[in-house]
Amino acid sequence: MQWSTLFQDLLFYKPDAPILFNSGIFWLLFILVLSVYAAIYRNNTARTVFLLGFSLFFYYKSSGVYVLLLIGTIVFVYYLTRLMHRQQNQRRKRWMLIFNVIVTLGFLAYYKYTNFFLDNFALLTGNDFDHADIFLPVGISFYTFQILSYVFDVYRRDLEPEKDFLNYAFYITFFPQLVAGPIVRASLFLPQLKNRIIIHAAEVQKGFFLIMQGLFKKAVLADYVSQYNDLIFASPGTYSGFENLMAVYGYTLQIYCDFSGYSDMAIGIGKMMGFDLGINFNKPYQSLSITEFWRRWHISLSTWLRDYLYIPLGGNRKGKWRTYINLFITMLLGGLWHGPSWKFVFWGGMHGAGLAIHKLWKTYVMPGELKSKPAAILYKFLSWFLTFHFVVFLWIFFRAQSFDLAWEMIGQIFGSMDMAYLQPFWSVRYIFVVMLLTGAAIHAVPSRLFPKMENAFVQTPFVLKAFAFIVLIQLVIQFRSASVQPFIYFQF
Amino acid sequence: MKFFKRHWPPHDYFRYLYLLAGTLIAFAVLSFSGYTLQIGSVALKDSKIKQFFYPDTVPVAPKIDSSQITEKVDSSAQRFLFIGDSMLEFLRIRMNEYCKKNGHTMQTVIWYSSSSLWYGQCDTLQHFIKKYNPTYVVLVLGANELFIKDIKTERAKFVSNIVAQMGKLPFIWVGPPNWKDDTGINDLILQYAGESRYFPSKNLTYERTKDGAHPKRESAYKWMDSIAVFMQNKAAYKVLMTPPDTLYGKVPPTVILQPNPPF
Repeated sequence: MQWSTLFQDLLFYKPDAPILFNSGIFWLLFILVLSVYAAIYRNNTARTVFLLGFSLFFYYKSSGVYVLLLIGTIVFVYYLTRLMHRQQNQRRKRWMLIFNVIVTLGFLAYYKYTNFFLDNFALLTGNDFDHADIFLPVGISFYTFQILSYVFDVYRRDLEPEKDFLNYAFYITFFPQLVAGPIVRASLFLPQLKNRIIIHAAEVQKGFFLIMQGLFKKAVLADYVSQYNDLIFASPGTYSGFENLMAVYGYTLQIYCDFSGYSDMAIGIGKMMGFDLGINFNKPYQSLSITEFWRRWHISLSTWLRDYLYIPLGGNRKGKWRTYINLFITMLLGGLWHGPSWKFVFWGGMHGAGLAIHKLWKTYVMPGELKSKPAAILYKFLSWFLTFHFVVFLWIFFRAQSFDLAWEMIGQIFGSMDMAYLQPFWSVRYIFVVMLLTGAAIHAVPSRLFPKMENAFVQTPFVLKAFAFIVLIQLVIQFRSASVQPFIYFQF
Repeated sequence: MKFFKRHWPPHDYFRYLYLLAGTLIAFAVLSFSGYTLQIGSVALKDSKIKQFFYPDTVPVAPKIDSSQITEKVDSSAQRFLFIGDSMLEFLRIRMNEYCKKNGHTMQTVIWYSSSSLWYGQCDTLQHFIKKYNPTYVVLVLGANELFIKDIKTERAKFVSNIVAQMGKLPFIWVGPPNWKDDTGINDLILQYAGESRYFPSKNLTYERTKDGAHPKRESAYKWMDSIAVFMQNKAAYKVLMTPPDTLYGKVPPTVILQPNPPF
C-alpha cells in the first residue's frame, strides 16, 4: 500500500473520481463529518465554518480549480446584491440586477453553451470552428440558479440580503445539494441558520430512511437497468422494436431513480444534520396530466422556472394565448438548461406544447369533472396513460445521442415490433424485468402512504433496520457495474 | 458535563453513525480476509475495499516476438483481419481500397459497443483468427472505454489477454480517436502492444458525426491514410500500403456481431 497515493486519491482532485454519494470514499468522509458535526453543531459559527469548508472540499474533488470560480461568483454576488438592496434609485437598482444576472449567467453561458453557440453560428454562416476545449464545472447549472433565486428574491424585496457572509456562502455551497440540487430557496434555508439547529431523533431516522431509499433507487435499480439501456440507445437499429421499447421504459425508470435517488440522499443527509432541503420529486409518473407532472418532477426546478421566468413573462395574466406562449417559452428555456443541444430544446419545447394543449383542453373541452363514476375512472386511466406515454416518448429525445438515433429508435419500436420477443427477452433479461417491475411497484405506492412508511421505519427495531442496511449495501455491491456510475444530472 | 449533555445530538444520531462505521468496518474486514460468503448457490461479491488500499498490480507487457518485426517492408499479399468496434464503419471502406490497390485481402468483423472488457473476456478474436487464418490483424478498439475509472487496474488483464490472443501473428492496435482526454486506455494499449504495434489515433484531429464521437466519413478516410502510413513505415511488421488512386466507396463484406457483452 502506498500511503502517498492513497492520500492523493483522498485529498486531491482527480478528474475521473468526483465524490459520489454512492461511493465508498463518500461513506468514509460522511462518517468523519457526522462525528465532528456532533460535537460542534450547536455552535453556529463553528458549524457553518466546518460545513462550508467541507462543502468547498467536496466541490474541489469534483471540479478541481473551478472551486475558485464558485467562490468568486459567491463573493461577487454577495457584495453586489447587498449594494443593489441599499440602492434607492430604481433605475440604478435595475441596472445592478441586470449586471448581476449577466455576470452570473455569463459564466454558465461560457462554460456550458460556448460550443453550442459556435456550432450554430458555424451552421448559419457556413464557417467552420474548432470546438473550444472548455471544462464544464460540475453543478454550475444548479448553483447558478440557486444564486439567481437569491438575487431575484432580494431585488423583489421578498428577502432581506443575508448579512453574514458565511451563512450566505454556506447556503449556496451546502454539499448535499451543491452539485445536483435540489435548488434550495434562500427563504427556506437561511432562516434555519438563524435559529439554533435541533436534531430530532425522528428526523435522523427519517433522514436515514431517505438515504437508504435513495441508495436503492440509484445504486441498485438505476445503475443496473442503465447497462441494458446504454447498449440499446447506442445502436437502436441493431435491436428489435420490443428490445427498443424495453430500453425506453428502462430509461424512464433509470432517470427517475437516478435523479430522485440523488435527491432522496441529499435531503436525507440534510435531515440527519438537522436541515430541511424541501422536496424534489413526488411520484411524477402517477400524474394525470402534463401540468401535474411538472408539479411532481424536479419540483425545485419547475417552481424556479415558474417564479423567475413564467410569472415575470406575464404568466396567465395577459390573456389565454399569451399564457400558452409563456408556457412554451419557459419550457423551451427549461429544456436548454438541461444541456447545450437542440434535442434538449426540442424536449423542453414539446413539454411546453403539452402544457399549453392541456390548458386548452381544460378550458374548452373538459372544464369540469365527469359525473358518472365509471366514466370518471376510465377518463382518469386514459389521462394517466396518455400523460405517462407522452413523457416516456420525450425521454427518447432526452437520452438519445442525436435526433437521428432517436428517430431510428422510434422507427424500430413502431416498425419492427414483435411480441414474440417477450418470452426470449424474459429468459435472457429477467433481472432487468424484475428491476423494472420493482421500480414500478415502488413508484405505485400512493404519496399519502409515504409518511406512514417513514413512520413504520422509525418504529422498526434498530436491529432490523441495521440488518436492512447491510443487506442493501450487499445488494449495491452485488449489482454494481465495473465502476461507480455518475449521476445523470451531474452533467447538467 | 452539563455542557456536553445539553449539546450532543440525540442517541439515534450516534446509533446511525455507529451503524455506518460498523458496516464499513465489517465489509472492510470481509474484503481483507478474502473470504467469500455464500447464500445457497449465490456467492456474495467482494466490496473491493482491499483493492482500494492495495490496487492490483499491472502485469508486465510481453516482449514482441522476433517474427513480428521486419526492418524492410513486406510487399507480399496479406490477409488482413480488420476487427474491432463501431469505429470500423468508415475505416473499413478505405481499408478495402488499400487492399485492392496492394493486392491484399481483408475480412472485417464489427462488434458494436465492444471494449477490451468484452474482447478480453472471451475468445471472439481467437475464433476469427482461426476462421480466417489472417497473416496480419488490425484491431480498432478502445473508444467505448475512454472514461472508465481505475482503468489501468480494472482492464489491464483484458488488454493483456487480447494481446496474448494474437499469439505470434503480426498485428497493430489502432487506439481510440479521443474526443476528450481518456482515463488511461491509450496508456494501457501502448504498454501491452508496444510503441511499434500501437497507433495513437488520439493525436489526430477529426471532424465528428452528430454523435460527437465517430469521425465523419471523409475524416475516417484520412484517419485510415495515417494508419496506412504507420503500417508501412513505423509498425513492427511493415507491410505494403501504397495509397489507392481512386475512391470506390464500397463497403466490404462484414461480419456484424450484436452489441451484447459476453457475460
